[in-house]
Amino acid sequence: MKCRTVQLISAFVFCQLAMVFLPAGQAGAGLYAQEASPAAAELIEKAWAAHGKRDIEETFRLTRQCIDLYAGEARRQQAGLKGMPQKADEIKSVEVLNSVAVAFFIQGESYLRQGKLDEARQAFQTIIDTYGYAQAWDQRGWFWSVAEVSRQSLQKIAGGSIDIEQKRKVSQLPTRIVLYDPGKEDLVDYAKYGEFKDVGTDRYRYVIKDQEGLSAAAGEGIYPNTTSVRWDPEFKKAQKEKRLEGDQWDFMHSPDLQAAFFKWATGSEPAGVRLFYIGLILEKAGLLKHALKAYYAVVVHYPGAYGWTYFKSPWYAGQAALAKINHLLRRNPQLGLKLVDADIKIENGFDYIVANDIVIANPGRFVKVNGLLEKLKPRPNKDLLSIKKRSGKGRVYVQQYETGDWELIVDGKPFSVRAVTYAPTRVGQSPDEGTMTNWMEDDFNRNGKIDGPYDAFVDKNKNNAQDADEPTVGDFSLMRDMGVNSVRIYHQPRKPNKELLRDLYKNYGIMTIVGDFLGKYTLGSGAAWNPGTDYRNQEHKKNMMDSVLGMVREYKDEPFVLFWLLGNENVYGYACNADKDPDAFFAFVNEVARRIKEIDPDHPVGICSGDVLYLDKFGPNCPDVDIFGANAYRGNYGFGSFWRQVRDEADKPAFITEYGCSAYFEGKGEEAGEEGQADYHQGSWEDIKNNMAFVDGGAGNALGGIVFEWLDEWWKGYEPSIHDKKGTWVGPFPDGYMHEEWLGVCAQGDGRLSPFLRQLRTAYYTYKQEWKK
Amino acid sequence: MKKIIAVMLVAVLLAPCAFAQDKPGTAAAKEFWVFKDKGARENHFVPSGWMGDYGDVKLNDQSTDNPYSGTTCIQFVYTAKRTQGQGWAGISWQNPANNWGSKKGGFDLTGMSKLTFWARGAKGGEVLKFKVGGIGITPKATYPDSTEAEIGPVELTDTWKQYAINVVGKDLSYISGGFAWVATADQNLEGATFYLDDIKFEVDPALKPEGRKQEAMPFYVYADRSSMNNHFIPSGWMGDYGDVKIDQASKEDPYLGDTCLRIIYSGKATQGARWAGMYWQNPPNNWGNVDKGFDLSKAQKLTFWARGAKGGERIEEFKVGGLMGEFSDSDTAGVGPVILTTEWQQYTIDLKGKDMSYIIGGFCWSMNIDVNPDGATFYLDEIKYE
Repeated sequence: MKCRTVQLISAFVFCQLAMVFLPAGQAGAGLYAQEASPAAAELIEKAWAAHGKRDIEETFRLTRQCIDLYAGEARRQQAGLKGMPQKADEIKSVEVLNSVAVAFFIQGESYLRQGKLDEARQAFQTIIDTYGYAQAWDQRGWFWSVAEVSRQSLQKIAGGSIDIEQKRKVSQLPTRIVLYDPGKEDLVDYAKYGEFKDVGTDRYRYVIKDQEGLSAAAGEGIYPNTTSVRWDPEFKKAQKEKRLEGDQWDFMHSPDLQAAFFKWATGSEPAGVRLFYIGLILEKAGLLKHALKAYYAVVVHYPGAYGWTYFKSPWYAGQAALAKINHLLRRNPQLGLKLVDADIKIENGFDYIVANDIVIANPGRFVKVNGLLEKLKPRPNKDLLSIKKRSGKGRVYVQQYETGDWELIVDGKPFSVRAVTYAPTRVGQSPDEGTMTNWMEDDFNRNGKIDGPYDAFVDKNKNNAQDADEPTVGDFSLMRDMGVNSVRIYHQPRKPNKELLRDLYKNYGIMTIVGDFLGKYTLGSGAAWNPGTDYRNQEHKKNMMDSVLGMVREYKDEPFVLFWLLGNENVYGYACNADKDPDAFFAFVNEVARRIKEIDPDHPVGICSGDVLYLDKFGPNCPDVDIFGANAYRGNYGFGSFWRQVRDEADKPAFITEYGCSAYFEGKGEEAGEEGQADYHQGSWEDIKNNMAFVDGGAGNALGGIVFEWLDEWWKGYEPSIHDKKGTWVGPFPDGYMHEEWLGVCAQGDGRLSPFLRQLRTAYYTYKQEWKK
Repeated sequence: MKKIIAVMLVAVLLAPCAFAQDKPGTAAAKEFWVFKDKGARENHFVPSGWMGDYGDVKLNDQSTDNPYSGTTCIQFVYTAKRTQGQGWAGISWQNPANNWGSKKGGFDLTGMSKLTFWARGAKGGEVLKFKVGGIGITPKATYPDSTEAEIGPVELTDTWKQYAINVVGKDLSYISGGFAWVATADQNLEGATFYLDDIKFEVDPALKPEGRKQEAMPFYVYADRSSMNNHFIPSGWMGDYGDVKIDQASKEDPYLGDTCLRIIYSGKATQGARWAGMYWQNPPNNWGNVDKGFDLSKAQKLTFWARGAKGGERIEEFKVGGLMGEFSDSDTAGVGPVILTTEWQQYTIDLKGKDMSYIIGGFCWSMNIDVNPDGATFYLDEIKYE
């Protein structure tokens, strides 16, 4: 979802930004073996570029060279594997295998374009037969299996086009959950059945003294009650009907909620992770009290439980359970409860290693609350509070009050960032095919006005036509009506249209967060893709500094500038080595921030990081960076401990540089998709809001967030002219998958009137209600 | 070997005749012989099903060394040398010879109440299991036996003693495996020489069906390598099974007795799973597909002793039960994660309030590479239900 990034990688094809990842040093190893030969990954990088330019001759010259030089080694690497490599370093260690497989893949895609189906089939089949464990990196943040995608291409050849629906592997019988044993207590009084020891320390544990009593209180499926579910007659029935057959993960999004509950309650995942997912299923079934019990059982019994995300980073079930509890209680004031003092800290939890984690847990306690009284609770009078810190001297600055709360101030008033990512890509265009034009200049209807910003109209009746009562209004107007007050723009690789941004501010009141990639994808550093930007390399640093300072000089006096933004998830690496040397990266970020302020003391400086990866290194290295920002896709409950972690690790204000959810719900209709998307956004914004300054119980440091994104982009899944439904990665979304082409709060209808037609989704109105209050 | 072939030939020739003549289900038939004496026309089955470490077994079917009745008995010598690397051996009496369920040859023994046989050990102390039926049930063959039943482990004495396998209430409509014995190397460290005689099905109107009995406590998963009290086998390898080695007779400072279990987890992710684990099952490799659960309702807890080779080894979970299948464990319980020390520590899994009425998976551990990046070696001992 690195929207701005993907636009500039126009040379790469399929899985649009597919690149084979070559670690630093490996290129050298390849050269050492074949002294005069280019590294495999280098050839692939060039081959993608040639393919993007439709230079067939060059594409085949480069891919053939890669295959001729490295096929033997690739086969040896494949033979040495017993399964698909899982971790990034394991994947990188078979780089030659990955490159050769991608060489065949590019050939297959090129043949497809040329209509040479037999040759394409042969290329894809070669990958499946010979290089089955090869993977390639998609710059949007994941590895993809070259063989798997080759199978899809074969499917395309066989069927004429690819439209990959997720396979329904488990029971799809719609059911609801009726608990056989709901437990004797709605809210388990844990003190009655055991003892909390060393609360708030790394020795915390809950020692059960009366297991039978606790089981009876907790009820079916909630630890330690593993018995009731097995006595549940419906469980036996489901077993007999073979509705429990299949992988438990496939049950997560099955309408057979009862089977999903039974499957997980008797599953073999680690107990803490299992309980979390039991909670999710119960929540989906509307059994909120039982769901709360499941989530809280994670906190009490397994606060340090962890799993792994699709991107191979650790995921902490205890912290997620706390976020879920707070989300549920916030959304359901009729429960009249609040969880206080609960906290789970994972020391050393900001890296990829779990072996060094230290879990410090306090399960807190539930207290009864009166919603009305809570609302009437007085907030601190800001005028009476002293300012602890202030960063910036001009019209935009951040300040911290004596209470520790942070605010962004614009023109003397608090400003919450209500931003959206804006990239109105025309249907049929794709950066992969070199067909993407600049939306800041596009005027396809030749009326002298830029299309998306000024010529868009709302297709109210969704008939894919512009009717008489559907006037042209433009996106800028629609965004203003939604309550948007800022957008994010990078000044690379295309220079932004300054006049457009001036108008956006002057006439629509929408400011711009102006960013520099700071070496991500080598942008600004002048480094070669391999080994990528090196934050200790003086030449790279000079180039990046020049790029950033040039940006600041160019725009600092523009009234539309909200603040400066450095990087875009650089901590994940990929043609930059911030992941390998985060200290050097953050030290450089700080150096850049310091230099910016020498030129422009009037705007704060923020960083765009990747969730909380290496957050512990950001704090000590970046005292001159004013705002911590990060892209985060955690689920409909918001961002969990993100705000508190930023506060604790860096004592900085924070905002979300990207968050969002697709409006496609596999197996369900358009309405369910939109509802799921709106629910996700509402939960996310509520979480942001509840962590803003002076909100009781929050971290007090949230400045806002940037919604990803304004409009569906059809090129992201596969075919730029088709609204692909493909789930590109597994995540905490309504149907369990990220559908990349459905992220907009506006749809493009059937695509025929792109880039003008807008169908406003439910999420649009959700924000309108929230932001226009 | 020639002798065995000869025996088989005779049996094959006789079997159809016997099948035609005997109607065990009728009131007249009070007994049905598996093996009486070498060459006896009453014999209905042949000891042709050699299993496991078949190279460890010698058979003398006309031993004159103090037979229980008649002039001969059968002598078996089991060397426990693990010739085929299995760690166990057994012999099944089949009809026809070498029939593992691919041929039609079962007898309808409906009406029989028990199988009886006489047995003695050369020294006493030999440990065996004895079994009826079970041919071709798992995996399912073309002509599977209609039931199976067993007793054991049984510790033989050095004098003749009669044993019985209760088959009342069992479906005896098709039995091609009349009788079998199984011995393990762990339970017979020095091997075993033993004698069998007068193996037959009998009618006993007074005998009642054998219910699943509640096992008495303590009930061991593992006591010592050769202990006949061991009730489960560490056969359920999970995850990166190639990363795991288990020594069931480690003499490295056992907590109690002569041996303990030593488990080495290399953390190499051989199968790519990044975790590994092991279930102790009954019978071996039972993932819920064989109806052989123990009734451990009397158990209030499971205790075990554990230590790490270096200390700091992290076991994600120790647990009991939890196997799901056609015959699922009735419940599950566990502890973890557990960080081991170099000293023996006792750990307890609380079973109070749990339904332990049917347990196939007696014990289990699991660990992963993420928190044990360099692998781990740990020891277990005295795993028992109490």
